[in-house]
Amino acid sequence: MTASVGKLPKLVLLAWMMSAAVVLPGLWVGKAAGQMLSAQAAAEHLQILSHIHSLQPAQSTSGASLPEQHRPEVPNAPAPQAVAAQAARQGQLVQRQPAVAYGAGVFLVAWSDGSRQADQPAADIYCARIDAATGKPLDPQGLCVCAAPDLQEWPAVAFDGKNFLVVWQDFRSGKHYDIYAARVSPQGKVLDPDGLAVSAGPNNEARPAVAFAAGSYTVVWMDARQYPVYGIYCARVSPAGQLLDKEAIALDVEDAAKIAKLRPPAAQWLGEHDYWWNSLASRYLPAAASNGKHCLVVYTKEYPFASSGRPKPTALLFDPTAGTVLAGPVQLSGGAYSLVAVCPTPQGWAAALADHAEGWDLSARLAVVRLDRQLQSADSFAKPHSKEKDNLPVEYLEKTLLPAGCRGLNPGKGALSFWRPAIAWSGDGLLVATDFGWRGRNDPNAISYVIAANKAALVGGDFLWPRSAVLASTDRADQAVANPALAADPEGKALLVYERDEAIDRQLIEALLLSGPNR
Amino acid sequence: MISRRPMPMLVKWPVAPCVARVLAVALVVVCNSAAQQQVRMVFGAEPARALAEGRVAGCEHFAFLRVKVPEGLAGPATQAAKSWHVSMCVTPDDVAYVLDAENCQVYRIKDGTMRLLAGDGIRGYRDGPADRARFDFGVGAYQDADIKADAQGNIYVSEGLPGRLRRIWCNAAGVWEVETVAGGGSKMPTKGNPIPAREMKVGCTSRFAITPEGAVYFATHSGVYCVREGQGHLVLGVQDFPPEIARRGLHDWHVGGSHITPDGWFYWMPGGGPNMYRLNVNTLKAEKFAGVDKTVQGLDGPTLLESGFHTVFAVYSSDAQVIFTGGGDESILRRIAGGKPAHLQKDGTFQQTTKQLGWGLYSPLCLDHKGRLYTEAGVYAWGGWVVRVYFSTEPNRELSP
Repeated sequence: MTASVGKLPKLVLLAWMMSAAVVLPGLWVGKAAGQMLSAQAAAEHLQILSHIHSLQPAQSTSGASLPEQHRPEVPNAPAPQAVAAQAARQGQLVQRQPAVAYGAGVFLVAWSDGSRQADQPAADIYCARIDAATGKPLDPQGLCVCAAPDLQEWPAVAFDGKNFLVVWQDFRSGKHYDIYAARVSPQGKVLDPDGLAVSAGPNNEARPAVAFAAGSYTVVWMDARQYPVYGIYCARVSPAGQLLDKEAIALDVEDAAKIAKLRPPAAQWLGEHDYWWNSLASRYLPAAASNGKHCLVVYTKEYPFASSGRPKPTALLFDPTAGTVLAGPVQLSGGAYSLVAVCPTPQGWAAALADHAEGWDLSARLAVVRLDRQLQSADSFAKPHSKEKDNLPVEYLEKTLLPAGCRGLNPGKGALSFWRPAIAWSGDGLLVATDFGWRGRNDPNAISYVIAANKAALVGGDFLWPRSAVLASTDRADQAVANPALAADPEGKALLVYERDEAIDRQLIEALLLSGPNR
Repeated sequence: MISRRPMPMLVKWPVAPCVARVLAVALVVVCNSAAQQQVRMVFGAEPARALAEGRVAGCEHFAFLRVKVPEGLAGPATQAAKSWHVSMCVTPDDVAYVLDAENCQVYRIKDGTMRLLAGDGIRGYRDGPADRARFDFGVGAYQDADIKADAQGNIYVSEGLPGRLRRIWCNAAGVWEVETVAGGGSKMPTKGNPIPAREMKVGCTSRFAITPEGAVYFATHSGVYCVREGQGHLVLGVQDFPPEIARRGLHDWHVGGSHITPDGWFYWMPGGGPNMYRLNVNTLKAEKFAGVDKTVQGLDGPTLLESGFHTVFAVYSSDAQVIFTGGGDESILRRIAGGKPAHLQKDGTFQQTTKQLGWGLYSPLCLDHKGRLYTEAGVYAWGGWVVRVYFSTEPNRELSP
């Protein structure tokens, strides 16, 4: 709890704690799938919010008291733990881009660790286990997965029933990113030190995702082999660590004939009057999930520049047995510039979107799109500028999380910010999380960041909670919490991991074990 | 200690004939001041003429694809990815620096490869090792940041909303660092009374101009200021400007473009238009340079004071004899040369017109020392691709890398 709480009038503090004690169990207990939050519970929640908003202001970097810096925090929330607090290298701890998966009684958390200095790049892939029963970190010094030269970044993790596979983008060539992977046992042994190449062509291959289904891992990534666009490719890797597809499988790529027709004879000459690539579209930033048999791949597909549309989340179903696309691609409802996370559900699939409503009034929102096994979905956003209502669980974060004094200013991370969603099926609902932030109106250095979580049922048009619970926060422009990832065990216990940036030489991955249903 | 990277004393001339090369070198020799020397080296005879009189004779994809990713994506420059809203500069050693406003990062493009130079990808404020530093670029849907380099290879970036000027530099150990040069305080200098630049309330605006020696000029509500050697100076207060300029407001925000010539003319475009002004920082003469006091899109008048502009980007040759505008709501690329604006046509020539016929090169970002223009492929630099444009005075000659 922040020091500011200590300044609260005792009565306010007491009322706030009592109210919070009411709402917290409600966040996690007794909400069966599909059940809506009762009106009474919602009213209680709103009462809590009013108390939360009465918190004393936090301190800005300048030490000034800022009324708009109210930061809702959830009291009595389980204490987060540093995943690998003793993994310091060369006197600093800089851990970024966490990913997590569950298997064999542990959560495996992977991250990129080290420096991205332009002339001395040295970021490696590390991982550590968290005991799923107790939440205790088992590898405080971290396990080095890959320490190849240059940059290794953006890991993703999956479990095959026996081992984990960690995949990442690798700049060891010094020219372009490749996709590498390494197996890690639940006992903490790295089985493929420095990794095996999944795809290492002379072009950029990046931002991998991975899922295990039908006896093999499916590693998915964005790939620039088809100039001038990115496409979505995949390759299968056996549990023994063998690459099964030496030639990557194209999942959704631009039509090669169309590119050839448009492309001018001289490779670099842009053509006569307009950009010849204006009617081509990239596919990028994939996410992947498995239901044991198939893999769901969701990514962003841009509209050609010549059209007026915005990039949209797009989904396809991959059959690892046949090595073919089983269904899709289908466009999901989304706003502008969605980032996506995916998970399986008992009825199909779900995608969490952190995106923006279209138009000049860019409103950051967190939403869930639920899909059946054939990728059909009834969830949709209202059409822009219409009087329709959104028909899916959606939370407009600027309305629910921003202190009133901050509304109207762009949130912290970006103007069209890249809030990163996370999602997991927690046994009784879809647990979703995102990072979010805002800037104080009167002090541009007072930037607040939070990790916020909400919950959705498999049916119904609203989130179960009227407003996200804030699970982590900061309030200084030189600190942040960001980039959440989620995984759940079969009992519905979920591990939330995220970056906590405390200082220039200290950024840790924190983990928060969230109890499952009926606990 | 600051380790300043030496600037190459001779630039490369890939296409210039020998005669032009000799003439250009001779020009360098006769120049007295270091600043003048710099100008002549940056724009030699042929590139300058091609810029002013030539046509667009070639155009290549320089960097980035139209994918929008958090924290950027390094790699081959033409496969790299960023977010949108960019500013850019190119140093004489052919290294490009790109500011990504949404990701709050700065990238370096060197030898065809893009890498992160500074910014950890989260908006904020933190000095220190460049990859861990934080910036606060951009507000709302606009781009409120700029990037420029001095002759020593220091990179400067502005943060429009918090009003800071930051410097990115390489220390003796080869580690890139970020430090705040100006802004973050609560005062402003008055005429003849400089103050430490870190105590300035507004240490920079969205756009700024820089001399080869690293003196930074910018215009804000209360006047034109200079930051040099750690001190903030008021060059000319708003009350001392001609009323017709002062009453419209001086503040340089939003898109636009600022520049200072070797002979001391500071150019800026408050709010991205509709007027361009200039102030001679030596004589303190200020005047409207272009515009008709109201937004008129793409009006090529007989003089600059009869020509209309609407929220544009502006980039300048060193001596400001050639200016490219574009982007914004005008979309089309225009060239100001010989005191007249003209639209880029589909055949690569520039013609005076009021019609938006032409080639969508959109948002001009910067010129390099070889007289090549870098543009972003969308209005307000939202398109994604950065392209490099070649100019030639020779008919029917295509230029490519």
